Amino acid sequence: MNSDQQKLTVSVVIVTKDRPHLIGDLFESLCSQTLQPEEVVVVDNNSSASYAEVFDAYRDRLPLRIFVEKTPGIPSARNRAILEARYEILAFADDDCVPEPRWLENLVEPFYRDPHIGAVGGPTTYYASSDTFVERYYRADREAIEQGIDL
Amino acid sequence: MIIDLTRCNSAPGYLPKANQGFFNPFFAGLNVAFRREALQSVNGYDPKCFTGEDVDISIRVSRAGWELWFEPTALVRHHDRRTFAGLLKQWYGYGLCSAYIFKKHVGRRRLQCYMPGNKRDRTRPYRARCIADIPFPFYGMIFLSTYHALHLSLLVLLIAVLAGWKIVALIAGAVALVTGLNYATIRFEWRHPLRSVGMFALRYAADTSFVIGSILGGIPEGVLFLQATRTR
Repeated sequence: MNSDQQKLTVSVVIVTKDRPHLIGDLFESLCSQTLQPEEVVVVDNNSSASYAEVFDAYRDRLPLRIFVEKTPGIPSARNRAILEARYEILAFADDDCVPEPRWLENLVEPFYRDPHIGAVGGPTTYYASSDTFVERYYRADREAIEQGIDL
Repeated sequence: MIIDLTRCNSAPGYLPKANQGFFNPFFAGLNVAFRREALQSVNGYDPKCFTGEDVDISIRVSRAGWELWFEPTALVRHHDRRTFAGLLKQWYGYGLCSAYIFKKHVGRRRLQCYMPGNKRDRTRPYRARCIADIPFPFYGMIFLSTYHALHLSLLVLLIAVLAGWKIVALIAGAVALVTGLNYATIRFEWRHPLRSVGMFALRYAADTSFVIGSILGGIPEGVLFLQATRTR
């Protein structure tokens, strides 16, 4: 970002359904991002599980704005989020992911470079939490692709 | 067959334009940022894409004239599926909407067959080559991977055995054996035979639910759609 360029404003957008046990990890990583977003829009796609506890725990630490979208499906929930988000850049993160600390800063930076850039995407790797055999399969799969063994 | 370029291309920069037939670059929905204007210019997400909504919107944003930029330093860690049921459901779901997206963006009433190309061939962005593009009464896309070659040869073997064609059965059996071994040993580690067999079983299960999802998702769209989780 050049000093004469105006700072781009950022909404982090999260669509979630029935994963209150995972979304805390995501919120925690958002708290420690090197670039802090203007708002964090959370769209609950009509979950049956309760998020009250985790929302309360982060309300003071993140600029949370929470909505419920009753129409089922990721695209409808995402469209609701687009409608509610108020800033120029919409950065989407899923409820089952944990961004690295410089994620948002690095994801937003290219938008300053070229006004024709409409979307910026980054890579995904595994989050080592529990260690079931199925998780090890996904991990082996990701590692093989990253090494270009198998595509 | 849709390949996430961001998983095999580590250099930052512009992605190729979405004009490669069925092979289009896209950003996974869990790690992407949009300029608000770009989202508005394509009217947001397609509500019919319960899965693959990220593929669909990447294609539309690119075709609307916007650039897609890959930024390898914007890394996200993902909680992958932990259970066998979760794995089956995920791949089945990915398959289900593939035919719809295919028909929406590149479908023609022709049968297109693709095969994995040479791994060192950098001229084809997805290293896939078209082996047939023929007139067909409805939409069709077949990505002939080892998985499909194996099942095709098993089908021929079964027919030949039932019909009593000994030579055909012999040839089909040999092809099935070679492709089966190829498929099962893609990542076989001799030091961990049990683990390798387990990995093979999960890959087979993922491929099978992906293929079943693709076929079932193709029926209401009038699309014959066959793909596999990996090109080999």
